[in-house]
Amino acid sequence: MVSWWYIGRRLAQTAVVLVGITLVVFWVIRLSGDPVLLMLPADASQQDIQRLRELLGFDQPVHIQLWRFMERVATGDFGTSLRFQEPALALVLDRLPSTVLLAFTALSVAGVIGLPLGVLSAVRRNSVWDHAAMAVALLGQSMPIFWTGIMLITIFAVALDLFPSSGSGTIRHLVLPTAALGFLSTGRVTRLVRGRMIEVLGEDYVRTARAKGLTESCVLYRHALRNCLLPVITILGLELGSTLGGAAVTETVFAWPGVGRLIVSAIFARDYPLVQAAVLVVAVMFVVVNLVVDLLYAVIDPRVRFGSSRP
Amino acid sequence: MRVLLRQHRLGFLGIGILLAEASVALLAPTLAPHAPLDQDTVWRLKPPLTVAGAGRFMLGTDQLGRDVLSRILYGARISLLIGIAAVAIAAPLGVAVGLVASYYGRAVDDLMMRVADIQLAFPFILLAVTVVAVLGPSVGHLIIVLGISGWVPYARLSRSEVFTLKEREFIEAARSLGAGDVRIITRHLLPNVLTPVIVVGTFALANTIIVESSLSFRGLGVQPPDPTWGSMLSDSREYVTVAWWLWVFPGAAILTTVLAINVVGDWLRHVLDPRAVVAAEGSAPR
Repeated sequence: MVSWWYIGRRLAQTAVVLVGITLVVFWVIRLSGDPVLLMLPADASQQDIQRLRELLGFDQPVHIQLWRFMERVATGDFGTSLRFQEPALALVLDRLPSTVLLAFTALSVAGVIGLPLGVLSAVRRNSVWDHAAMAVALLGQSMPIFWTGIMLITIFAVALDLFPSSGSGTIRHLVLPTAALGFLSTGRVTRLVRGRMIEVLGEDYVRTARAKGLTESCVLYRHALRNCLLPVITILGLELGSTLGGAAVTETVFAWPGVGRLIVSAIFARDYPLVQAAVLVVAVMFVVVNLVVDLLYAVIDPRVRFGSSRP
Repeated sequence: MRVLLRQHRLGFLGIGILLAEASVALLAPTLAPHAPLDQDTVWRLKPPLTVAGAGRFMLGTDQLGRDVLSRILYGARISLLIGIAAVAIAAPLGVAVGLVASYYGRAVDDLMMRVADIQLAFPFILLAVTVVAVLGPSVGHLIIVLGISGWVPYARLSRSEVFTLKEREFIEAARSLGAGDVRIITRHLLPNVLTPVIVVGTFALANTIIVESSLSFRGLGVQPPDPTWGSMLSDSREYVTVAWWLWVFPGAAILTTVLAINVVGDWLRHVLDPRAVVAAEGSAPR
């Protein structure tokens, strides 16, 4: 069903992408500014600046720095965060559970609400239900997430005092960020499911199933819905990938201690080792999710032949 | 005509809103009741319509006493300009990459698609920070950042279109008549991918406006005191509880624009390209 040759090829491609992204980030972050100037007080002397630079190895040419970095990475050492003075990789992995938790709850909400809502809209096409669902879905997609966030905080945290406005630790902390992220993803899922479902319901095999005298729910769920799952999985996969890749805006608005916020603050602090480790971890998750989505295709639809592009 | 109008009511509504917005943006200097940068600390943080005198400060004033309505009108200019210009860079770039990759196939295709993967996994914010650090913050640089990072959807789309096209007879016929690669790509393949590219471009425009506002929200976009919708929202953060009009109106401006563009995109997709383009609606920052 899934050819080993295909998996091998995909893994090789993945490795190329990961090495590529490491190189590009290594180079670009060094263009973006000097961490030494940010680490020392404004009145530090030239000698002090030079000494710290030498201490951290930033006085070397970029290719030498890169070589040293690669050597250390080969032993699993991503260096020490300049700002926190702790191992960079450990800092990232420390934040990872929060991001994964947020991504999965938001995506579950999107799936659990979006899937039935899309089916309902397609079946009752052009009804009041359909129009209302589509309006809400479009709204969710058209709002900048930081604005959704501000609004949720103002209404539910400040005015009504139902949920904490920021931080993490309890389930109640999870509600508002999940709502903000979920609103966005639910809109996409609902619209996509509806579109595919309408297409599928017009197919011959659905008419045949109806003609056989199958119950309506059997036709819908066993025949129609199954056939619109492929693009839904693609979209859920892409959504999961980009949410895992750091819901940086959401995490910042709600002060959620995730990887996205860590990356952004590390970029602003020019914390080279931390940026490097965080970007790689995020990229690994991104490509793994994509790989899993591709492989799931074969499981759901045996007709899919690997090597061809996704439908 | 009536049937046509009824069927495409939403699409026409979207186009109407966008045209109105474009003219408001163009006419901002005449329409705006105040200069967008005019400060007047006497009138700090006034709620909408509370200052007497023929609708002065219809949407209230901000923490420096600047007129919110005027700033939103001027903000429309910058937001629309950045969005359109960025799409105008990203679309040709992406289409060119996609056409070349799929036409030559094999190693060229592999290489370009890996570059696309790297681009997608690359943290956009690092690119923005670097460009601002190296070149300085300006509208032009912001357009460049958004333009060069937005090419991937166009490339993937035109690539998959060309894969099915290039084996067709008319390409074979053109080649046997002596057409070179460049001619085949530009005269025979390019016209065939333009329709779906227009659909993707519309959604990308909506997305770019959101990305721009998110960047300005972080202080990486257009620099103060120039007004953009994102920077107005960013400024409002400290006054969220005391001055609702500071975050409601700029946010509503973004929402209306993006909603209108998305509606037009849906309509174009329906009219031009009945096959739904799955990946058309790029990924918004979250």
